[in-house]
Amino acid sequence: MILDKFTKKGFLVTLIVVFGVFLRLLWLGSYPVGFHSKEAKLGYRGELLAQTLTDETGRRLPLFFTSFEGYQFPLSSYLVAVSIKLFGVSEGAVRLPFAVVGSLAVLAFYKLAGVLFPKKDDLALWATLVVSINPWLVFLSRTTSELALAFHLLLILAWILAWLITNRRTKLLALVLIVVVFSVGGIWAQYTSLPGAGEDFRRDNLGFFSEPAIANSINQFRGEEQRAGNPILGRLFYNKSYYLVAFLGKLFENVKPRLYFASGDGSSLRGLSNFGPILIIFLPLFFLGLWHFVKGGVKLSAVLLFFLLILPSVLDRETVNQEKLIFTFPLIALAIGHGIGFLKRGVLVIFVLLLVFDFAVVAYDALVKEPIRGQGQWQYGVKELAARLKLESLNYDKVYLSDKYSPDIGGQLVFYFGKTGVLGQFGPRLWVRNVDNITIGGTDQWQVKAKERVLFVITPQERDLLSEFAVARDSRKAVIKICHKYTGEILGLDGRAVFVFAQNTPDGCSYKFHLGK
Amino acid sequence: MRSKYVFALGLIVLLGGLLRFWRLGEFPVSLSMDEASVSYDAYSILKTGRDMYGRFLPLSFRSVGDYKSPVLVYTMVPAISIFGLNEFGTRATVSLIGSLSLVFVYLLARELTGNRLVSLLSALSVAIGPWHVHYSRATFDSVVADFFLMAGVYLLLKALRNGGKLLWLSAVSLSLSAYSYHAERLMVPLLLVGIVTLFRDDFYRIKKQAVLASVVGLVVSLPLFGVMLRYEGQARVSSVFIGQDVLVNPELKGEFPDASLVGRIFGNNLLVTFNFWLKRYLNYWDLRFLFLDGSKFTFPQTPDVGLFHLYEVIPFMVGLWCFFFAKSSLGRKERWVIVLWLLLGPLAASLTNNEQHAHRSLATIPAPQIIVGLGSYLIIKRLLKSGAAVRVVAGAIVWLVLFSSLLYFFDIYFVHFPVHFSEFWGYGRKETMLYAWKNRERYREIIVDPGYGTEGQTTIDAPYLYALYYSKYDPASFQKEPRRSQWKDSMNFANFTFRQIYWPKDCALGGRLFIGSPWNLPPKDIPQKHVVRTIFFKNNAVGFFVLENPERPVNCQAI
Repeated sequence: MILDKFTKKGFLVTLIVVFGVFLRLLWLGSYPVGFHSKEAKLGYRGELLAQTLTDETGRRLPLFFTSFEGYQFPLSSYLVAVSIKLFGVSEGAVRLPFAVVGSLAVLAFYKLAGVLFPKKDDLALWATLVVSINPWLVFLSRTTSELALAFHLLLILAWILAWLITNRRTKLLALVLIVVVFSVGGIWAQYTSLPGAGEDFRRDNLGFFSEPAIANSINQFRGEEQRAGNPILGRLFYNKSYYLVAFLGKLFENVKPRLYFASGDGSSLRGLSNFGPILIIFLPLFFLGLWHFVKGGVKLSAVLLFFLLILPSVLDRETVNQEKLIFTFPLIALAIGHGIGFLKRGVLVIFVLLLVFDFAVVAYDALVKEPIRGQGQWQYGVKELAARLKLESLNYDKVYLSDKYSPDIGGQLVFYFGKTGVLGQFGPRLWVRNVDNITIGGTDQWQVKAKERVLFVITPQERDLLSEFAVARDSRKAVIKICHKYTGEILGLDGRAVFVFAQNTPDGCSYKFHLGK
Repeated sequence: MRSKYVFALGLIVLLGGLLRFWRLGEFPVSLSMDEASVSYDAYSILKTGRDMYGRFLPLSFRSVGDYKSPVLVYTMVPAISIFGLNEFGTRATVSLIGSLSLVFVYLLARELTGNRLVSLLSALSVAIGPWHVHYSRATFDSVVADFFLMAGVYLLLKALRNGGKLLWLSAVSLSLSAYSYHAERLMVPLLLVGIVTLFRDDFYRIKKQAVLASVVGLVVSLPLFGVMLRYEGQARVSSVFIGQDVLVNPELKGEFPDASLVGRIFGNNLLVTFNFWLKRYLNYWDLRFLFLDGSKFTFPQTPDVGLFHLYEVIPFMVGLWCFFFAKSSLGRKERWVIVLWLLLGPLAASLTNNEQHAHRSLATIPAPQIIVGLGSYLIIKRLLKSGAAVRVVAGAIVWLVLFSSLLYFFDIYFVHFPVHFSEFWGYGRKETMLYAWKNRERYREIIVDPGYGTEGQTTIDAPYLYALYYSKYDPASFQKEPRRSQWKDSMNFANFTFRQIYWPKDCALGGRLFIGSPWNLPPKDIPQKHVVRTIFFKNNAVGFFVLENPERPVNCQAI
């Protein structure tokens, strides 16, 4: 873009890219609200790497990392380490590298589209607009999504390769390809040699095949056929071939227009839960662009590529995974860009006005309502909890902290406590169960000895559990007592409690007990 | 040549009729509450000229929680007079109308595509399609409405080519369609506006007939406007409107209060509703719903049938390609009529509080089937151009796929559908009511609980309708009964009382017959020796106990 002549088009492209960068970087540390345990763990590791060149398992500059959800590839951790080295420890610094790469990808996409469609200037411009402002990429660029990072890097790489090809830089092209192939191959080879890598890969990428509902329904239907006296029909229709039908069902789920333009997969972690990953205003233009592409003789390979790109989501354990569908986006953006190019001037003006309105509606919802909808998934409130625990935990012998709200809350605590140290051993999974005198999770193991001062931090839904325990488990005494008192709570964005603090009352309950059932 | 197509159409109608009439009284496994309601109303009209509440030839029929449209009830009267008030007599009318619809699918498709083979294939798709077959078998008014809609549009398009002949009949048919079902009240005017805009030049040529038809249509529709302005015309619409949906209602009621100007512009309720509606509307363009599980004959995440057979996804895709990109006999205006029909078909359904609703979107038929017909035609044409060996193999595959798809549909519909959903169709009410009516004189009172279900009291129905229906209770007597109600819309009559049973208290009521689910008549509490009938749902769970409480109950410590 900088190389472009500063024409009207150049100005528009600059505007689009700058706006895209603005959307990706603005209020990065505070939006999305909350700081997910995955991000916190990344931040903690980044800080360790930046300071000591070791990770949380004590290994020096490792190629793979481990987390609550399985193995993690190296790039994101090292990028975060650099960011933290430069900008210090903060939520924004953890998210920054992802947002920067996402921003660069907007420019890369424009250049790539220009190379792919050299005779269609408008297509590249409009498609870049789609990439720049659509909620899908903007949102994921603001999170520590490894898939989005890979996607953005792929776009940048594709642009570099396309540039090298069109400018006939054969030697450089060969060098880049060799580096890429060896890097990817090397990392993959290393990954396969990790303990439990196969299981890790299957769980993350091939969850469809272990979906219990499929096998259960086959068995159920066979049973019903037997009761009806048609065992042969049961064997004929309800067998392993049903996996194919279920696969088709998931394939259909992943191509429905609603998913892309109106609703997404509903997860606040992967997008705006009330809107589609692509603005609805683009839907008719997508069909228009598609129509013109087909009319113009679109290659079958493009269609096959689209279906290939949705496979990661189809094979996922969830019905639809919006994050895994991200690789389809360039094709969709190109179709939309192509469609916009066919609008007449008057219609184009109306379209731009509607686009501005649509964007404003989505942005308003994203800033005002979505934080409230998504606060649970984003584990909002843990920061405040950590600040409180840092002070209050010193006053107690023990702190028992529930992991119901955030399953890997230990990662967040060590991040906010500013600790640096080894958290555990390298393996397929790693989570933190103890931080200082704080015990996390395992509610059925909680014990309080005589005269101990204990702080319980639980979710409001677990209040009953605490009360039930206090009453029902006091088996040595006939007198029923409440053995705790509530001392405070942490509120969510909607004013409802997300954490409740309770301390035991040792004078009344000098006996050993267990919480939970 | 022409007789060949007529013969083929006859065969398709015969096949469609067979699928719609075969074991009609037995499947679906029981009369639904709505079926019992409309058929008893039809019976009441037949016997007295009044509905069950005593209104003389009404234009809307009070049902449970809403009002039913009149066309279905009045068209059912002849069948009930011929076959009597039984399951077959109740369902025969809609099954017949559903079968006859196939003729209009053919005629309409021929009018739109100008191709007889495409039209036959479209009719075949409707004839064997789970969507239309199921709703034709179970007294759904949407089938009647769609019949009149197809007939009306066919007559309209025909009239445009024939100098306006029978245009007035088209107006009558379209009005009847709007009378028949709520969805058509939205669909008919919008589709008409579209067609009139598309064919405005043709209408101008027959302006006299057009004006006459408009007047006829308005006159016929006038009473409907009156009904729609009253509560009885709005009750259903307001109760199922999208704004009532639990997923959006809290937001509309101020879940995210923001009185700022920005909030009022970009976060107002109109936009919230529109955004929510868009999701619902796009739900109807879901291949999974159309081809895999839209019929909802079985529980979620289990094998099911879509609105179409699964194999039809191939001709549907080919048809779409043909429709939009290939040269065919379809004219520009005719293409637009099909597009309009496709777009408007699910509109009314999308405005209601369900994710996807096959019944409410039935007005989409026959547009997607015409697409399937186009695709099938293209595939067949291509195959016919191939060598003999390919034709034989392809033909065998086509027949095999067709046969196995039908067999699979039958299996789901006749074997698994009853097992999964018998309780939701009021299964068991017939047996309990027949017993109660036969033995009514032995008891001081017969108390029937409206709640039941396998997992809990998940279903609340109106057992008084079943009691009226299976007892063939004299409508004139019921109309004169003093209105005694102890449970929502239920009406007590004779010695029947319909209310919730509370056994710890009711056990003291001697000389009564109790009919209730195990949730209200807990097996461990009731005297088992006095259980005279135990009715099981098709999933083998206990549905109802029929319990006679002796004059002097023992072991009852009523609270």
